[in-house]
Formats: sequence, structure tokens, C-alpha cells
Amino acid sequence: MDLQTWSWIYFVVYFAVIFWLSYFGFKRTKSAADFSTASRSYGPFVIGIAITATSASAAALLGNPGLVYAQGWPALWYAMGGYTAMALAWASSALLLSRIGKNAGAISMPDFMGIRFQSPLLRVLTALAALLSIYYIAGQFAGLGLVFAQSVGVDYLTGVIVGAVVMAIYISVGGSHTDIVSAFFQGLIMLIFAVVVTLIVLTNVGGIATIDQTLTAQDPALSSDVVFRGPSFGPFTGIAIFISLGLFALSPQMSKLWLALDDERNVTKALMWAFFGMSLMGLVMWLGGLGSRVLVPDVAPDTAILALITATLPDWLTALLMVAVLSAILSTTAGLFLVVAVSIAVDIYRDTIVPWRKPDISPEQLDRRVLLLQRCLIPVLVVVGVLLAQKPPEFLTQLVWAGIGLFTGSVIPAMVIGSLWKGTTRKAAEIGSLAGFVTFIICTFILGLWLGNDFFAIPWAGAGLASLISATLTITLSFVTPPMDREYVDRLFAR
Amino acid sequence: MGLMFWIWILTWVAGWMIIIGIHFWYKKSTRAYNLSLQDSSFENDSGK
Repeated sequence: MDLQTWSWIYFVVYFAVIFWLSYFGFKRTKSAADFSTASRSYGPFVIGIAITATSASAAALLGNPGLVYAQGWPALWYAMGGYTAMALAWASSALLLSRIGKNAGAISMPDFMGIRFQSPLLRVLTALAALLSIYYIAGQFAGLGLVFAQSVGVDYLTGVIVGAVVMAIYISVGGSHTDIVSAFFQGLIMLIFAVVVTLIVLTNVGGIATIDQTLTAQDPALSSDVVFRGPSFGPFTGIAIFISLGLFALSPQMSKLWLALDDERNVTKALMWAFFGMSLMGLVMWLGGLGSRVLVPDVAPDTAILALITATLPDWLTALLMVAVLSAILSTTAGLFLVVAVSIAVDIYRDTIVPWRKPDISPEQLDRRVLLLQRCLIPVLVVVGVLLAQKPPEFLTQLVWAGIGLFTGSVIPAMVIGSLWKGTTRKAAEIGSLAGFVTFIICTFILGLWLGNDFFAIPWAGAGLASLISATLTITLSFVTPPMDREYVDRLFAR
Repeated sequence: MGLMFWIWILTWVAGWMIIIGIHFWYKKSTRAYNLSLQDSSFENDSGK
């Protein structure tokens, strides 16, 4: 049997399992809150591996090894920023996100912000920043088309549509329960991918010293001795990568998973599993990237890992690893769909429009309506995502970062500081978040894109600066603005 | 082995130290919290 036949077999089995999981999720979804968060339903192993799968997208399995393939060892600055920054970001926020989420009954990140600071403005601002994740979804869809084209031989657009339809069905039926359990299984497949890629490189190329010697002979600029070298290393680039990757680890599709963890006491165990998973994903980036540069030196960087596995493995195993790439894309995108649908149905409709318009319906009717709205929004969002992927806007990269950057630069500093420090005030969080929001827009869109400033052309720089300003204002203004009700805050932080 | 490799290992170990550090810090603070709860219930029971 050839690669295409094997790929068809695995994809059919894979989709059958995914549909079974959507039935499982459907049975467990009784309310709008079950659909949006699956609050306190899963243990540390499931949540930890689901976090790995959700954070590792097409970029982790294809793009990042491609970067190392093109730039050699110096590209590893990116992964280094990732390891320490993600660990710091999770360690500083996960515990209290879980605790406050439980005490306040928060079912989404905008909900969390609205409750923590008693601020409708922050709820809406967070929901609006989350809506821009739709551009991130479009970026993932492009990867989906590539995987289908490479493995089963269908054309790019058919691949995008097939993947999108499958996802629309399984998420709108099963909601967060299906998202989390399928992300867990997809994460396990991705970890197998990481181990196999590591073994391929170590057995076909040799140890790390051999890889280094071969690459140095190929081009001295790829060597592991060339440490302080651009474009990945620079006085500001390193710091910007560090800050933005740390903040990325807190983006809504990942932060919401802490609300689904069963017990606060399991947070650190989930952290260990997530970091273990990220460590293996890191191996794909550096060993996979360097190894493929040695073994298949003349391919396009983004397809290096695919070329490496096709060149070294039998068809049945290559096809299995293609499923891992598909898993990486689907797990990230499914989480993003939920974030956008929940922002519209729960945070904008239920918690903002309904209290304002006061329609004459019972809480049970409202809950059923919100659940239905969430389910119906998923297919609509899929159509928007496919249209964006088919005709990408001129500035797709900037728009992708507008989604992540607005979130990280504006509301996340207030979220982290507000989780760590009871004294954070509502006004300080509002002003800090708004300032971060405006700073990011000015830096990335006006200075970087419109006026052509080199430094701000990299959206990480704008996100990094915006989050610094947002954090500074949130902390300093908390000392001079009216404090929040002490009893209310104590109740939120109670063990 | 190149310098880049060792810097990479160092940052990876730093990541683990942060995660394991928070794990033990949390265990310790929970134990202290539970002890303080026991103390206060003892005080209540003894009628203080």
C-alpha cells in the first residue's frame, strides 16, 4: 500500500474517533456553561497534555523546525525564550486562575475579567480582543490545506473545506468536553510524533556532536558556536520574544483550560505534564530542524519535517505522523473556535446585551438560548475562517498578531497582576488595559505597518511594549485609585 | 559541544526549576494553611 492509501485509512479512523468523542461531549453537555468551559471536569494529566496540544499548532510541528532548518543553531533563541517564559507565565497565573475561577464561577476569560474587577468594560474589551482570534484560525486553516494536499493528494481548498466541516460538526455538537478530550488524545499523538522524529535524527544522522560538525561544514553560520547572532538574537528581539511567548502561553484558548481542571491542588501536576509535553515539542523544533537540514538540505523550510519523515520512514509510519500534524492544527483551532463563540454568545450577548435590554425570559430559557447560539455560531465562524484562508487579507500576519497582541498587550497583564495581588483596583485594570490596547494599535499598525518602522514591523515588539505599559499602569494606578470592596475580593481569593 | 547547546539546556532546566519550585511552595503553603485552620478550630473548641 502506498502513502495515500495509508493516509486515507488513518484519517478515516481518526475522524471516527473524533466523532465518537463529539457524542461523548454531547452527552455531558447539559448547560451553556458545560459547553463553554466544562468547568472542573478533568484531572491534571488530561489538562496538562491538552494544554500542550492547544499551545502547539501548525507552527510547532512545521514552522518552528523550518526556522531552525533555515537559520541553524542560532534560531534556538526562540525556543529558549519559550521554555522559561511559558513556565513563568503558567506558574504565576494558573493556580489563582483555577481558584478564582472556582470561587467566582467564571466560565470564560472575559467572564473572569468582568467578575474579578466588577467591570463590564473589561468584560467587553476582553471579548473584543478574543474575537480577533478569527484571524489566527484562518492561519491554521492554511496549514490544514497543506497537510491534506501532501498526504491524501486532494487539492488545497478541498483539504481546507473537509477539515473545517469536520471541525464544525464535532465542536458544535460536543463543545468544551469534546475540545478538551480530543485535545488530550491529539496531544498524545503529537508526543509520539516528537519521539519518532527524535529517534529518526539520532539513528540516521548520529549524535548532537555529529549534527553540529556536519552543519558547520555545510555553513559556519549554522554552527552551535555562533550564539549571539541575528535575526533571532538582538538586544530587543530576545526580550520581545521572551515577553510575547510568555504572554502567548496565557492566551484565552489555553487559560480557559485551567477553569476545567477538577481541583486547585492538581494545578502544579498539570503544569508538570504541560511542561513535559512542551519539552518534547521543543525536541521536534531543534533536533527535527537541525536533523532535516543535514538529511534533506534542499527543501522549503516549512516542509522540512514532512520531507524528513517521508525520506526516512516507511509509508505506514509517515501517514501516521501526518495525523499528528493534523492533530496539532485541529486541537489549536477547535479551542479558538470555542473562545470566539463563547465571547459572542456568553460575554457579549448574555452578560452585556441581556442585562441592558432586559428581555422577559426565565434564566432556564436564557441558558438554552445561549447554548443554542454557541452551537449555531461554530458553523458560521468556520465559514468565515475558510473565506479568510481562501483569500488571505494583505496583512494576514499582522492580523493574526492583532488577535494575540491585543489580548496579550492589553488585558493579560491586568489578569496576571489581578490574580497575584488582591490590591489591584478596577480603575487601574481598566486604564492599564485600555492603554495597552491603544499602544499595540499605534506601534504595530501605525508605526510598523504604515510608517514602516523596522523595529515595530515585528508585531512581538508592539505586544511586548504594550504589555509593559499596561502592567506598569495597572500596578502604579492601583496605589492611587479607590480600592475594591475588601470583602468581595477576599471571597474571590478564598481557598 | 557548542555554547548554544549548553545555553539551551540551561533555560530548559530553569523552566523545570520554576515549575517544581511552585509545586513545593504550594504544598508548603497549603500545609501551613491547614495547620492554621486546625489551630483556630482548637481555639474554638477549647472555648477561647
